[in-house]
Amino acid sequence: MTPPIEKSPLTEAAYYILLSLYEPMHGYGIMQNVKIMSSDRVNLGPGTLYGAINTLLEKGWIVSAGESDSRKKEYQITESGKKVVGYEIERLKELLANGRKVTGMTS
Amino acid sequence: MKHTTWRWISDYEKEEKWLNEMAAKGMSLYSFFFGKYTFEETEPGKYIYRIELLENLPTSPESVAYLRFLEDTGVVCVASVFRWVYLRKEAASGPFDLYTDIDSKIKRLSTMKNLWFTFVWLEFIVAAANLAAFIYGWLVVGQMAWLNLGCVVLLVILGLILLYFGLKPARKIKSLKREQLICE
Repeated sequence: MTPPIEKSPLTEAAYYILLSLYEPMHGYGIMQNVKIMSSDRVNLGPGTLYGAINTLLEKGWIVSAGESDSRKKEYQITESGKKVVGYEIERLKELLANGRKVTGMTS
Repeated sequence: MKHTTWRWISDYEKEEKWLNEMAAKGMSLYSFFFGKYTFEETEPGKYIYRIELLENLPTSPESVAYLRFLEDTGVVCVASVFRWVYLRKEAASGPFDLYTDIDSKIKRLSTMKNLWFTFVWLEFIVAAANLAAFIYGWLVVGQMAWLNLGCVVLLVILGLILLYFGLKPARKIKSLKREQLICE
């Protein structure tokens, strides 16, 4: 049986977008934030980001939060979005624990 | 100073490469209309260009919202022809790739594949109608409709060229889907 979508693995882009939106933020802000959080490893393309934002809006995991001072559209995570992040963290914990157990690597 | 060049490039990847080479030399695309490229002189390498196929016409609400979003990230649309848009971003603000994961790359290539394949089908349907008219004239009326036959040949040749364009993204989608089995 496939798990419900809320418990399915998130893409790296979706995970980092959801994390960014614990604070209201506009598109460019998300791109910058993700870049900083991942120490320059993840560079979200604007096309990819736009598609992901629209899908997250459809799912109700984020909502529009009005416009910023510079009149850019802002978004924010919802309660169901936070729940999804919670499931993902549990899943990542399991991946990490198993990885460490098998390889013996601790850091 | 503005410079105008006429050119016809059928492959958008080659076109994009050429525009970036021009920009690297300090000739930045400023406007485009059916083969007429207008460049403005800027400092060399100021802009990076990308050519994108929108899912809807640039004037549709969906595309207006998307282009506005791009603008907020520093991407400016300098020209559009049908659903094709010419985008540029200042190179100083970092790399410019619209799509950075396999999912969205596949989606983008599918839009492109569908565009070409729609034209391929149209070509072949019109070619088949012309062929039918030729055969009808030949067998029933007893007259050779050479004009119809000429159309068939032209349409089939054009259809094969378009098929070639459509197969390029189709092949890329296939290899990306294989990669998707093991990574994001």
